[in-house]
Amino acid sequence: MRFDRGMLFRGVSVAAFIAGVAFLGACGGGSSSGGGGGGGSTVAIGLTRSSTFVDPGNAITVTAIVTRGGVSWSLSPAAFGTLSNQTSTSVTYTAPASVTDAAVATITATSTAQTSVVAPIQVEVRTSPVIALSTVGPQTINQGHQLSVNAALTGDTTNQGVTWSLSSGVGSLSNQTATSVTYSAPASVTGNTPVTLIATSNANTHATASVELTVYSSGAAANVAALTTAGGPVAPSTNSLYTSVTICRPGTSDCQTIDNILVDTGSEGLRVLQSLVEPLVLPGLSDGSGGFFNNCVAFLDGSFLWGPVEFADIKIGGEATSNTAIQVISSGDVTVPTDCSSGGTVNENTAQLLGANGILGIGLEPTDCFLQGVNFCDGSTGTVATVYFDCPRSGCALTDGATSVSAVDQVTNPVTAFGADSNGTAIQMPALVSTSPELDGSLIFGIGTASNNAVPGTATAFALDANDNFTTLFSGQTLASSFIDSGSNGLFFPSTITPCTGNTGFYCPATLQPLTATNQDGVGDTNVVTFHIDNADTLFSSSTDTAFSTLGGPGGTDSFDWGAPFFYGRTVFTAIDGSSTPIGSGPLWAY
Amino acid sequence: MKPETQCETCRTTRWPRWAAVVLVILAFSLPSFAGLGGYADSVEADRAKMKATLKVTQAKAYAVHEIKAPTGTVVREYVSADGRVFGVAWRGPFLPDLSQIFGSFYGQYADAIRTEKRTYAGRRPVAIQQPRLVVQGGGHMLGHFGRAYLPDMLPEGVSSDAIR
Repeated sequence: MRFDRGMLFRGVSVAAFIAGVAFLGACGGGSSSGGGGGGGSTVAIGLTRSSTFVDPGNAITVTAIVTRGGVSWSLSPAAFGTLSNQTSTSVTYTAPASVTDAAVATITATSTAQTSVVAPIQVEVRTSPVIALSTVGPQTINQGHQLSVNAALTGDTTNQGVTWSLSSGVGSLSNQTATSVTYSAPASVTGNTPVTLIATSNANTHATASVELTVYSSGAAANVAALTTAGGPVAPSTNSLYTSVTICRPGTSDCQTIDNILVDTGSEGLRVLQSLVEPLVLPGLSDGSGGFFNNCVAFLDGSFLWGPVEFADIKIGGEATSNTAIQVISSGDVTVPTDCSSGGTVNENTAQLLGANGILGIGLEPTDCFLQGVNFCDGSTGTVATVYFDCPRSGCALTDGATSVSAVDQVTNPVTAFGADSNGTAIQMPALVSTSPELDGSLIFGIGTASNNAVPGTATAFALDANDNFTTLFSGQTLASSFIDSGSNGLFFPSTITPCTGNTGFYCPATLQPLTATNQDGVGDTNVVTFHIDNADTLFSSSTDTAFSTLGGPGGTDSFDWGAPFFYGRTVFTAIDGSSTPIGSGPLWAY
Repeated sequence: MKPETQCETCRTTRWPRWAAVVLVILAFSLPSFAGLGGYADSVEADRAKMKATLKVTQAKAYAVHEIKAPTGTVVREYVSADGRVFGVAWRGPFLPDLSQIFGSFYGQYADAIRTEKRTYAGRRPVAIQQPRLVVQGGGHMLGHFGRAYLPDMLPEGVSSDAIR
């Protein structure tokens, strides 16, 4: 949901309301019409407002009539909206963009000549209708197809519903009611075409909700999900490729569509915040004696995720899985066994910490515990990695140790569970010279399984080493643990480029650095990559950009982490371990 | 772990047998004496924690204690001539228990990570560069690597490049 933050000033009426607290006399006595500038005279303040109420995101003006000197302004509650355009006799109050409960803002004028003289005035901030759409974006639709969307409104006290509109002339709307509409995509489009469907509250035109759609041309069909760098729970996001995923209670139509899911070729399995899937009541992985299995995953940045293994039908684009193990990331204050948490330090159990509503791990392996045919969690190696923990229904204890879980119950790379197009993925992003507020692309399932995921003859396929890495030669260094990872926010590699002092963890060269590296595998495949690194402090000075092709930072001593910017202007194929593709058996990368 | 707590010392006292057992348990479970900055004896605690095998190789100015866990992760601890662990490196499908191998520097590492997480929501490698502690780590699921070292404890003539 998005609210228009536009500042719409209501004209200051001549017949303005006079504040309830009119001419206040200060203690200290004296006439209110004293000597005009004499220190002993009493100041009086009268306040008027352009309206007695204000809608969320809107502004009103408060004007002071002061007998001597000016006033300064303050707001209570302090963070409930903002004051701007402050002069000695007027101020603009802008209500918060979203207000779930009706509330009152108090604006207080304090005499600058006599600070003991104050005059407050109250403004009612009205409740916004909160609009929830049945479809959340980004969503794809094939040309010639239709999509029905419903709006649920809360706080729409006069039941006026919404008016529907499109951001452009792509397609048309029909069957419009105050709470539903049908979108019809054009019969044919010449390329993937974006359009935004907007619902605007009739009671408050500043309350809107929208869904971003991409109309696909012929040939791009069920195996495509839309990607965008825009959105994310922490705005503006940084080189994060988001998609939306629908999760259903197995075998039912009881589903939830969740947007802002980070697409990560550097991990395996779908992981979603508990608060977003809780209404579905998904079945957990039981140990058969009252306990349930929890999953622990440590990420490269020292963070970890913890939560129960649960089963769901997963729908992404037009592909679907049945009864697939996912991780539900526990929210709240749950006990995490030391064997899980001491490997990491930050429990990323909120959208703000995660920078996403979940992670769609579609990497090189079939589960989060397989590596090139060896399963470290099913007990077959004689020991188990600290990934799965069997705990009582009441929760784990700090001292609980890891237990074994069979492969079918491990958190699964959803691509491997699709009926078709299950051998890997292709990620296709448009080229970007420097930065952009939004870069939209496609996540295409399958490699060589349809016309839209054929591997071009110009692509190089790389065989991987025992740790699913290849080698990057850069600046005289042989970086033998290098990898491609859509989930990394930049290009990370060891270099003498000046690191940032402000945005630590990134590079801040004085000028744009043109660079070259060579990717190679152990069997003679090589490819030269040219790229640029810019100053991250400068890049991040934009408050709207979400895609940065020149963002980089320091990394491990023998590794080049080819993160999201590497995908811009390329089609990158990730073939899953054990699957066969026209360019060979996974695990491999091709681009 | 300090030499006084070693079992040979215990036996020279009149303490009962259980006291020795208690001391051994303490020695193997006190993270504040294990890992980075600790004495070489802590390598044994780390090995025990990982249920791993240990291989020691001697370089000119230091020894490398290589611990290989059954889950495939290899931890190397770099021990100076005076018996102190001045660097650790890890590589493998799973992160080692960093609170174990970072020893008394774990708190400093964790604070740095938390500070960074407060200012940046996203995914990238670890790059902590402090005067007394350097940590670099990265990788992907099932392929982790990293290293940590104490710049002011590097033996004379040994470059940080040795720790990998």
